[in-house]
Amino acid sequence: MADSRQKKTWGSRLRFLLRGVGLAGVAVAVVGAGLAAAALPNVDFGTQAGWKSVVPLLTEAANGDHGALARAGTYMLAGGLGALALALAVEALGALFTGMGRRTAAGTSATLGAVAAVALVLLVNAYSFTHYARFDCTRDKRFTLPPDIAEQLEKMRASAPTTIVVLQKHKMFGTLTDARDSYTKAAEDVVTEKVRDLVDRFREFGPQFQVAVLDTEAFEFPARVEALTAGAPELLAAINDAPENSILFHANKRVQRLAFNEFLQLDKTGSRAANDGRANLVLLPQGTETFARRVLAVQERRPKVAVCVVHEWLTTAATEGQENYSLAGMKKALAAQGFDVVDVVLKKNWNDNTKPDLEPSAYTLDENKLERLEGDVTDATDELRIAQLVSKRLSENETAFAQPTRDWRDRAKFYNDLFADTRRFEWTELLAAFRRWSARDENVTEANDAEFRALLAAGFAAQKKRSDEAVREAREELAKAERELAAVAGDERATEERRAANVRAKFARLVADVDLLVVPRYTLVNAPNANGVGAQLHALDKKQIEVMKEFMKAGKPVLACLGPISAPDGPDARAIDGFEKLMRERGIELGREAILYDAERKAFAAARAGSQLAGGGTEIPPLAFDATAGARANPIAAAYRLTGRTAEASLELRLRSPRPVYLAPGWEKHLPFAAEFLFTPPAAWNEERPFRTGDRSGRVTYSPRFDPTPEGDPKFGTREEERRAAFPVAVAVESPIPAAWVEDDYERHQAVAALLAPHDGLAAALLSAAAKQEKRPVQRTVVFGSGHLFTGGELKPAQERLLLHTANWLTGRGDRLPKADAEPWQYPRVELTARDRALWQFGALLWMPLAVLALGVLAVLVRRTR
Amino acid sequence: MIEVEHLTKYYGEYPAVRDVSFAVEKGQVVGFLGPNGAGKSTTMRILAGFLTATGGKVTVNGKDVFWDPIAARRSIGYMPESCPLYTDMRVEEYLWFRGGLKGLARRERKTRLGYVLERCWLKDVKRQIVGTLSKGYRQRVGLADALIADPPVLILDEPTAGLDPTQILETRKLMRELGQQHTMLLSTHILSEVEATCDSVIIIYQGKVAEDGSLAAVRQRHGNKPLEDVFVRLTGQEGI
Amino acid sequence: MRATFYLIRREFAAYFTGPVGYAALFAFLVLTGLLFNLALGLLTERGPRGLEYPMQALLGGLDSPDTARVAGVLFWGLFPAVTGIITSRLIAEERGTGTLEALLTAPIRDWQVVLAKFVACFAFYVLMWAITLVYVPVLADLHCTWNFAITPFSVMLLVGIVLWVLAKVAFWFEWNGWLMLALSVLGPALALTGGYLHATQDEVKFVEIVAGIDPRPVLTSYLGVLLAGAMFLALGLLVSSWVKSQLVAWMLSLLLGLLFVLPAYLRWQFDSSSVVYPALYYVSVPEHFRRDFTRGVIDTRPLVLYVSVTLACLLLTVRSLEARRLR
Repeated sequence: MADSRQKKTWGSRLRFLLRGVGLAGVAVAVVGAGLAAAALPNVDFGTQAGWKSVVPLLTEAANGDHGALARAGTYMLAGGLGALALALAVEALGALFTGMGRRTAAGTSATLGAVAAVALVLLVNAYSFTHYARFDCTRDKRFTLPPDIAEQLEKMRASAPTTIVVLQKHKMFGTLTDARDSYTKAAEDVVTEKVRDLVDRFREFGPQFQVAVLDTEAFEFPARVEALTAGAPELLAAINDAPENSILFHANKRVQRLAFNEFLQLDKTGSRAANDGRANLVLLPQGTETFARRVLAVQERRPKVAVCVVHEWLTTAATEGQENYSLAGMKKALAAQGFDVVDVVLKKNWNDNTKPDLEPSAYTLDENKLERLEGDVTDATDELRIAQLVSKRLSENETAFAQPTRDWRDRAKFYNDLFADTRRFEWTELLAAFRRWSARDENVTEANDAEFRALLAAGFAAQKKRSDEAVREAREELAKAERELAAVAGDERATEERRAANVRAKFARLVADVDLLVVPRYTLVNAPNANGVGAQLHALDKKQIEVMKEFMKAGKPVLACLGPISAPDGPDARAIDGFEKLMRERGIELGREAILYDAERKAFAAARAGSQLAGGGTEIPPLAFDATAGARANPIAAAYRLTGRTAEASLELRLRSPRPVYLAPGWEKHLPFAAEFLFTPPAAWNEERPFRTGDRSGRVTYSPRFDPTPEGDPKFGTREEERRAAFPVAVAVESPIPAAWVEDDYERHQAVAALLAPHDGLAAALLSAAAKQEKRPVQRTVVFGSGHLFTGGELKPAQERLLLHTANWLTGRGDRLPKADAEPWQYPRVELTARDRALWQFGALLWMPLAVLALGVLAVLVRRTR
Repeated sequence: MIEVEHLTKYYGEYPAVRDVSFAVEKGQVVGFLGPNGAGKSTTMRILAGFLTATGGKVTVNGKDVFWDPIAARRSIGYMPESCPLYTDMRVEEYLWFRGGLKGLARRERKTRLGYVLERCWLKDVKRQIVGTLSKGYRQRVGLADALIADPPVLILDEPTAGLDPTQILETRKLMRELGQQHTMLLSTHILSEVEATCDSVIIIYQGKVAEDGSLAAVRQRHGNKPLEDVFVRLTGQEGI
Repeated sequence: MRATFYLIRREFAAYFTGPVGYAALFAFLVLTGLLFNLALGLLTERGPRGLEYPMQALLGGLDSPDTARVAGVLFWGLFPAVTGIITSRLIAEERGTGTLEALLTAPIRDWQVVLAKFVACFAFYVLMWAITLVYVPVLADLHCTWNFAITPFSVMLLVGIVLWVLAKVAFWFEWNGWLMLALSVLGPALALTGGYLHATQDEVKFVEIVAGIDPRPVLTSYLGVLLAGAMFLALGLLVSSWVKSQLVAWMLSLLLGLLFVLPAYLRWQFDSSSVVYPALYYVSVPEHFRRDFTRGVIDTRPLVLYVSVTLACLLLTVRSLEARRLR
């Protein structure tokens, strides 16, 4: 008898069927999902918007918007999921109802317990997903931000989204050198990783930081750049303009740039020499603050630099054919570092032959353009007026011609007047008509008058056409000139400034919002060739000097590049103007000579012998930077030296015919560092007359030569002594402005205090203290003894670096100077002898596993013994 | 000792045991008889605590098997059907472990181990790995394991399955001896075994109790026929 | 509780009487040996390559030399396999051979069974990682100078260590339960307090250990490894309780484990600033190590994940055993 318990019931058959349907539903759903994914456009599952767009996309596909395949896929997906849901529902219901009787309370509680456990786990993890803490357990707390930065970031919490782009251009040093080697590559990778880490830490304070890493050598680079900069053209411009590997910060339509080297400076020299020559990667951290400051100050305004020259050719606008004089390279370099550069021209009437002298002025190039355009408009108006007048005259003549008088004599007179007008106004068509008549060689009579008139009529017609055309062209020209004027005149400032006629007020207003004043004086470039511009042309007017003094009194920095004031007969005293006096009051004294190198002597000698190629290609030795280290190191020299270590390219600076620049005696104690920071090599001397002179026949009568000043000479022992030495050619000063500038009575007060001192010490002290206490902001000034140091269409790497370090230091952006004060970062190394290392390697890979294997075999064998 | 009331067990939709009730007194040796698939193993597993009943109540030595499992299991020495053992352990290691598992203290375990090895004739093979033993020895180890904690109730599921005749004789002899000291519940489908070792019998067929009582009473009830005939009639094999 | 102890002993011993334990240990040591070699190579490298966090190499988190990346993926891919080997036999084998019946009819509760098995496999796991502690002196550039300074605190420390070892021995050789308990409490307590006081109060230490490389990431890494391992082991145990065949149990636990490992390699698709990344990070164990544990940062998210999943899996295993009875 069959077992009565084995019968199949309909209920169990139905249950089986439903289970089958559910499983089939899963399979169908998977296939449908695959089809839909293949046929539908890509959805970016990395963003929230992407997830939200899934359902509308599927609805569209169901309606057939994306093709038959997508529709089929969507239906399959929906159908499969539906079947699965149905099967699960029935299963659950079945478990609930039929199971009730069968299962004991224990069973239900077990299932519930399992479900509760899973639910609890999910809940706990969901909570911990958003509420969590991170503990930095490292020895030196590398993963915690300094508290002040944390505070500032906390404040920034709700502000605009910031995009941080790590741009790998595979150029580590910008224009310095294009060299790429294993060190630069390793440094790039490490910096990218560290920036990512840093931003992750930043993100703890708010999710508004987005990081993108772009590699210019990656295939997707153009597409990614496009996606990233859609709607952010300033970011695109910054990406294209970046000269080297950079980190760009973009928020609220402003972009800030931080070079990789400004974040972690690669010390190649140190890297090569590390670990007793076995080499390591040494990076000098420039501080998290540098990074944070860029993030916090994306809105910061760009510092403004004003370049004050005396002629348009000397400005930063690159004029065709005059690049040697211009400072276009300086502008490019500064702009790339985040400075805005404007030019101020301080003299006018260069081209005006009517005025005998150059007049002081203060105008920007924009303004000049405005004037020029206004001139164009005036000219065009005049042209139009003339054309219209001529046209009117022609019309009058024509009307008169059309109605001839009866009187023959009047008519003949008319014809003569007409001929006179034709010649005066150069009506060529009518003139041609007249000529044609005169070719017939007969006079005009009443008889042939008709022919004559016919000719003239033709002539009039043609001339009228021409005249109308002329008027029309003049009108178009006027319209064009007016348009151009309108475009530039839209700039209020230019128009405003022009209205101010007062030179001093204008200049003051121009430099009111400027952060750095640059005073380049392009004089002697190359002594053997006598290339250069006369120094006295640069001498400025008293009022202009006053404005500069006010500028310095406000504590704003000045960079001066003053070339030698040498003239063929000796130093040109006219060139020593108020500006040099200003410098002397700041503690910077300038020599009157030009420095010539021994190597250039040969060039002069060759010139004497009559060689054509004298002087041009002489190799001169490089300049030397001040080597003081430690607390009294000159910041610019120290920064430059660090840059040298990074690039390892020789950043040699060579300068022809510089001028000695000294720190005034007694000023050392006022300064926190060594002031004179750039020196010529010792094989050079200071020459008062650095020019060759010759007589009319071309023979050289005088050639510069080193003649040491004899002992009896008054110049002996002073700075002006002609001597061979290493001359300083650059000075950096940082000190409070001279009290004499602030307090006119200062000297008087000091004198009185000196008198009082023996009698009433207290009053004396008070007076001098009062004098000292005048508000005297600290001001920075740098003077280079060469006017052509930064000229040219493109700066050489050494000059560029020097300029940038100087500009950054002067404008107080010292955090952008490379620093070496923090502990250098390098990969940790373990010192092991080769033998030890081999032992560890073998031990780890071979001996330990083999030992375990042996042990295992042994143990199993032991177990097997009966 | 053992009381089973309205025991029901469903494997999903399939009722393996339906409304089974019986009782075993202290000192009895009961044979649990039935064809293959009748529900014997299921009932024994429920008694031993390996399975949980879907309905009904089971008490062993006064402790409910479901509500007080630990105490109930302490009273039971169970030998499962296929006599599963850890094949990588030595015999004495295995018994030592099982003794510890059943809650014996160290000293007591030592004594019991000696006794059990003696009783089940395992002294020669005590250091042998279980995996290398023959089936007969394994059964003995299983039996020793059931005995080691000296439980009042022994539940043995097909103790002589797969043994050769000599071993069967020895095992039956052992069981008779044990039956004098413990309450035993044997399950088997070999009738001669029941006649040889048990004094009571419970016949199970298709998940229900078909017959229950002492051997004599059962025979009497069915007209003094041999047990085989009774069995055949009850399990509906007549005519085959 | 005594039953639990005996079960733990037996399970732990079973690893060493059969080939499974040795096979797992062998595979694991080969893997870590490979990674250690990589780390050693980078630590003694010539040139601008190197390794900032040595534990990152040992735990398969390096990206830069390509071999390291491959080795890392291999390590994490095989990690669930190794834990799977350890756990697959725990319940599946018992079901297969039928010994589960013998076990579950013993006077031991289900949760005690699960606990005992888990503790046994966890102890084996800890043993595996304890062997790799040999690498730490190189990875943290430790230099030891033995002073053998005898002060009250150092004696306390030494006595504590001895007692701790004795407790382990007592467990193994089944001494008196109370004695063992006392030892296992007293030993660590003495050792820890003695050690702490010795380190902070005494002038001359028993042994001066100077670490050239920051050793704290080593500590956090091992902590992470222990907890993550507990999670994988619990998963393996759960899977083992579902199936009868050891092989199937191993493969299933490998698959489940890979669910926690594979999302980590999606990080090359999604940048760390996208919306998906936090979710990805939450689930992917290799990321926890690469970013946090091997660098000395403890983030509570992975810890919560590990502990909660471990507990849940253990609970589910108990339920699974109970369900076995209800079938």
